[in-house]
Amino acid sequence: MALLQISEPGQSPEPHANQKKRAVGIDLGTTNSLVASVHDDRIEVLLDAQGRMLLPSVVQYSSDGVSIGHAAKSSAVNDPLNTIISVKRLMGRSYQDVVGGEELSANLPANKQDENFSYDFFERNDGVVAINTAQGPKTSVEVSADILSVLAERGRQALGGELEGVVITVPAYFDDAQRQATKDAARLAGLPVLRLLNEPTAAAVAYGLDQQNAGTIAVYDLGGGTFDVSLLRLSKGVFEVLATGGDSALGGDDFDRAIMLWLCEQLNIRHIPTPTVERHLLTLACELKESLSQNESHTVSYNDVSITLNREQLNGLIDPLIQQTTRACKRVIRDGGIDISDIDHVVMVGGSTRSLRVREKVSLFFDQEPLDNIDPDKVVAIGAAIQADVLVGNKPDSDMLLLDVLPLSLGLETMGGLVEKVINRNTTIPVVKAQEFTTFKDGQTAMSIHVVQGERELIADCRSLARFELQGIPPMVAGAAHIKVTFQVDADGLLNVSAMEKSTGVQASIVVKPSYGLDDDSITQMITDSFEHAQDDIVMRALREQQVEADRMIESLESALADNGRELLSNDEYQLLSNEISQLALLRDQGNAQDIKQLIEKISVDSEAFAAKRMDVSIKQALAGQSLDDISAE
Amino acid sequence: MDFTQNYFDLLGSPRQYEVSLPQISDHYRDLQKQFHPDKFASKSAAEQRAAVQFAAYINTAYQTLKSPVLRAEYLLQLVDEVIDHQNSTISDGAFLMLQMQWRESLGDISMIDDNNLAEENIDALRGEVKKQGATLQNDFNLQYEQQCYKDAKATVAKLHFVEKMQQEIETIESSLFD
Repeated sequence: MALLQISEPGQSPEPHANQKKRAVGIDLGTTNSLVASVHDDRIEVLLDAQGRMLLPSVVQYSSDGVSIGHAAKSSAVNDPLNTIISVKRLMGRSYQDVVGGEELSANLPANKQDENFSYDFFERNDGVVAINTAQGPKTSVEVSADILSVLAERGRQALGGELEGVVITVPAYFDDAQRQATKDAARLAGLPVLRLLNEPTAAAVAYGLDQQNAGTIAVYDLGGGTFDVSLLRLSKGVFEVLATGGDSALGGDDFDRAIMLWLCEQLNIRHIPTPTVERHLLTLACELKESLSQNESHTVSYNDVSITLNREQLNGLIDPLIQQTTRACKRVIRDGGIDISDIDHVVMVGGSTRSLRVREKVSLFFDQEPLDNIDPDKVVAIGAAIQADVLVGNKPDSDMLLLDVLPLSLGLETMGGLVEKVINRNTTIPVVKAQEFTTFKDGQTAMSIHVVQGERELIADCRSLARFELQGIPPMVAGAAHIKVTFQVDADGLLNVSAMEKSTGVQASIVVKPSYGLDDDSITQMITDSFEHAQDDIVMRALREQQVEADRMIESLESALADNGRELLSNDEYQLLSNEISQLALLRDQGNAQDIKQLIEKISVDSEAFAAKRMDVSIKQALAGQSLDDISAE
Repeated sequence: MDFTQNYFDLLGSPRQYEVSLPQISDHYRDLQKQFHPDKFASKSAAEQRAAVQFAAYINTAYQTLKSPVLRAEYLLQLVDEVIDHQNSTISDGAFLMLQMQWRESLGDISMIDDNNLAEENIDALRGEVKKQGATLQNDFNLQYEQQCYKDAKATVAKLHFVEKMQQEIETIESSLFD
């Protein structure tokens, strides 16, 4: 056993080709989405039956049924109310944000404040925004889940079976609510998510592995609806994000909108009368933009009126928007604590970086030609596929590691509506931080805590993430109870909060009320409600999910027990766990989803101490190895 | 889990104020290559949770040793000299004067309409604050080595002010150019 463990890096046998696990990377974009996978060491972007790579992120919910992608996109003009485009912009947003909210105006550029999505929005009881369609109410999570399902099916077809791991990319600038919504969508679509990966990091991975170089990389990612800029340091396979920033509500769609407003001026349209007219004008605007990246001028006609736009005029319209992006770049460079001349490479991502003017301005700003040998539409999905392949376990010797950061500071509401920062933005994740509170009344047994995300000083200017009610604080005199609240941000950038009263060790229970977003019950309900799934399907799917979980548990616990179970556990403890594995193996094949789930949970609790002990051993080994290196170095 | 190693041992650096950043960065990356939750992505939930905890601990260690202020504070904490942020005041008259001057300059800058001139002034102030920070770091190093912990604590309070000042300069700069 011991001998087996000492294999030279790169020499331990790779899993046989047909044992490779099926994993895909998904770029869930504002305008288009795509899926890629690593297959026989080649990275492939997966195509649909018609050989198309991009899936328009558009879903039409008409009375005839649901259509997703190209078909839906072509009905956008005729059926605007039932055809949902750019749903990514609605992820993790409340009704207030989307419809009437001035609350978030600080986070939105001026041109956004009067923008209204032309859908029939309504507010659910829980504050989540939903859209009335001919197929009933739809939340952004459900719309995204429909898009993900199509991509996942493409993956199953190409890889020949159920997917075992999925990496989904999100803009680095996404806050907790937006990330959570993305994860919820994946859950609704029944996908086993290994990780949410930041888009710029994915792009850097795609280029990094291509070039095998070390140095500092700036990733400029201008998509349809979001702008991200990230700085990464690449060294010996580790991609360390130094800083990230951007604007979660700025993208190529804004270019279209600027051109559309210009068109309205030319056509003397003061108020756009109907959503259909708006869609038509936007389509013309998009046509102008795309043509001008090839030609000096372009003419469109609207109701027999011809309008010509030339490149110089176009530049005048979009320059202010591009300038917003270079300002964000400047801030990020400062946050990263580096100088602009330290940047070795600039990587361009996102369809909107095809714009000549954008390339020109970005080259000028960074004083170098950006890298563009990977198709900017594909690069994020490619990076996600590489990461999925590693995380699912197909590359046991991989040296690759991505160290991401928290994009926006986490804080708490204090007296007077002010924010006290608990974890600063650009802190490397995972991160755990504890903050202490005390009671201010005698006998106080509950306390409410409001967690927000953002950089501003006033609560009203930040995004409200959740309100926590701490209950079960033992009654004491004012100021005697010390409640330690622990904030944990995991590798996906998602927040978890727990609390404990220190003097008594009483764990205060937490009632989490997400300010935006769906709670667990809503999602379970949606899965049940989903009209696509007959009752049998739901049962089958739940069972399959639990079987995958069970396999993972059996595999990892078996190998852990074989590794050092005898040394770290008493005979009884060892017996307990190995009996439980056998039980689980049996139940996996014969039991129902609920029973399997319960046993997995039980084993999970029973093996907690073992996992911690194993971690300790690894830490000791790591430290011992370290001092050994030090000695040999001297 | 065993979180008893101090940050210096964890990152293979001698317990002193002067650290080699490339060296601790190397150690940091090697540790994360072993303990980052991504390395446990196909393992059991219990092992994943343990990895999140330890990776977070490694991150905190690295952040602490990388930052001149946090590193100073941590060194004092290791010799039981805990800094009370609520009640620490700066009593050094010359430094108080400097603080006032800086605040004034900052106030003046926010009144300047000409962006280029404002930027020049910001750069000048930033340079001055940075220089003062470097001096204070030297002071701390000496005070710590000579075990003058009381003085060392006073220096940390000043370093905190310098850091706060640097943040305010950033804030003013972004508000001017946005």
